Amino acid sequence: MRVRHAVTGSTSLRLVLGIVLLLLAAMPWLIDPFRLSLLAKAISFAMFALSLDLLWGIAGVFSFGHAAFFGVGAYALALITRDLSFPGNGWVGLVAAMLLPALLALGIGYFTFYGQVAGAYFAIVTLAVSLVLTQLATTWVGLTGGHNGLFPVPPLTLGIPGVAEFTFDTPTRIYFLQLTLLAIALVVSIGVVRSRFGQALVAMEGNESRARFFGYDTSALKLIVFTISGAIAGLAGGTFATIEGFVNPAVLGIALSTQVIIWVILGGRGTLVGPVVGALLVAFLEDYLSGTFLRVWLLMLGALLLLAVLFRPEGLLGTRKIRRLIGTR
Amino acid sequence: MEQALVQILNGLSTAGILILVALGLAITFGLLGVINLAHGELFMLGAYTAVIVTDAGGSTWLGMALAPLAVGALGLVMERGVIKRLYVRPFDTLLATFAIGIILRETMTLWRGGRFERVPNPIQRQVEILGARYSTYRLFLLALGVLVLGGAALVLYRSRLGRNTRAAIENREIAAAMGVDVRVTDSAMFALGAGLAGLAGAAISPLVSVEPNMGLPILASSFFVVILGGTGSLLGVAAGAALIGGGQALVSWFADPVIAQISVFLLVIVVIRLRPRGLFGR
Repeated sequence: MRVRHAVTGSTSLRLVLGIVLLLLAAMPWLIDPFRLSLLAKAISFAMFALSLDLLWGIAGVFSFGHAAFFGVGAYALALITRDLSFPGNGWVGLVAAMLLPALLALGIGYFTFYGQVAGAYFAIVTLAVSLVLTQLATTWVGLTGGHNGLFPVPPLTLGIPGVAEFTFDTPTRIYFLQLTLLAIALVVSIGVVRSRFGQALVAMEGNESRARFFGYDTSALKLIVFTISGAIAGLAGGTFATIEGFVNPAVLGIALSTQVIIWVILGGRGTLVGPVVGALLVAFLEDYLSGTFLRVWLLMLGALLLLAVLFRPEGLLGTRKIRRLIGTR
Repeated sequence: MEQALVQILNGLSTAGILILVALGLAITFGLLGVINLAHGELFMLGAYTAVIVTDAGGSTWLGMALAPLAVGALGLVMERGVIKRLYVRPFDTLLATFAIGIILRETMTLWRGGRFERVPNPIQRQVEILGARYSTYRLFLLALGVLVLGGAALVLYRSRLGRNTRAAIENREIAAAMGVDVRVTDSAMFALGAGLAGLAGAAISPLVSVEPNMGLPILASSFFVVILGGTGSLLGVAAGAALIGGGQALVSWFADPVIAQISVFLLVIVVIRLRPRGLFGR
């Protein structure tokens, strides 16, 4: 009931979203193939931003090393589709890209959340996970190829093995696959937030002690949302690996973890759609500006983050309307 | 036997540096409730101070003396300019210091070109301990850590500033009502924490390659120290540093340094699970 109300309550926003979707679907005919593949890659980042927003914006659990999950997903898919060429390996790769990061999140989350590791401490633990995994990926050359990384990661082949298989090997095909996955991830995330479980997360984000007094097991809530978030981040990493055709330790690293935080902040945390827009927007800006500003790009992002924290803590695009549409306020 | 002794000494001298870095972190976190994620970058700037001083013809010792002053001053600017506005939004200090860390790191990368730089070791000699030859400078690092820890204890428990600070931690409003200027204690403690990171960076600079990204691993290690030792206790910091430094040295004796780091990390995770307030936390 409340779901229908939330949606019908804002026709203008639905209209805007509809136009945006239409525009996204028309992209292959509007921009050249090179830009299209950049956009497809940016969609991986958008999914990644979505995963962090689900964890941080919705549930209030902050991860400083979220690239750990993105990277594990990327390596998982790359290893499976590159080295094992049995029919249906694309599916196995995608599933592994979600399952392994989810298990990693489950493991870390069990020890931290049930140890009552609170906000900042948890953030540090995730930061450390990301650092440790980066070093592992750099030194375990036998598995990960070390600094050089893994290549070539082949294009994904999905479908029913032996009956109707389909290889995603042109920019247009990859783009539509990405768009579909992003749509699924968004719908699933919004569904999660609107479910009873999701509303408990929102309550917990608002006031954790109060949520606990109402009888919610907040450690379990955090553990579940962390696992879901890890799976989405891993899917984002896996798709990134197959588009890029190459994986190196940077996918696990601190720079990427930083960037995803910036995308979420800029888009407005707790809005799900906002961080997706934030990621796409920053990717667009990066493509547009990095020719001139490549060396100062991270510096600019850092300055932007500082300014946003000081003056626009709700995010640049985060509006109350979007929050209400999603169901977080 | 000699090998074992060298490993123990390696662990202890690593602990000496970790004490310096983690102490600064513990002061800003335990006393101010601010997690300073730019702490690793302040450490890095301390090392660069030594590089710049020695490049200009000064000695490593001079660099080590100037680093805490320069980095402490920068800490003061950080506190006055940014952190002060965010005490009411504690979580945002995390993001803000993270952003400052990026800015410092990228600025140094632009300036120094991201190359590896070295600082001459001021004590080239080695000493003989129970038949094993060992770097005198590493022993100096251990002594420095212990000395600074003692100094910090003196400041906190014997000086007027320390007394005011402890009062402000206990209860900010009451301390302010009793005439303690809590803004002064905040700034002083943040600058002190930053200065300690700067000192640590300059002190380690003769033993490592100085580069803009050197702060991240040390930030992680010193957080482990603070997590293990618990916040707000100087003794906890020392014990945590000894455990982490010693543990890493011990494991890297028979395994890869990366394995050592991972096992230390796992140890910390397990400790957090069993003793959330740290091994020595109250």
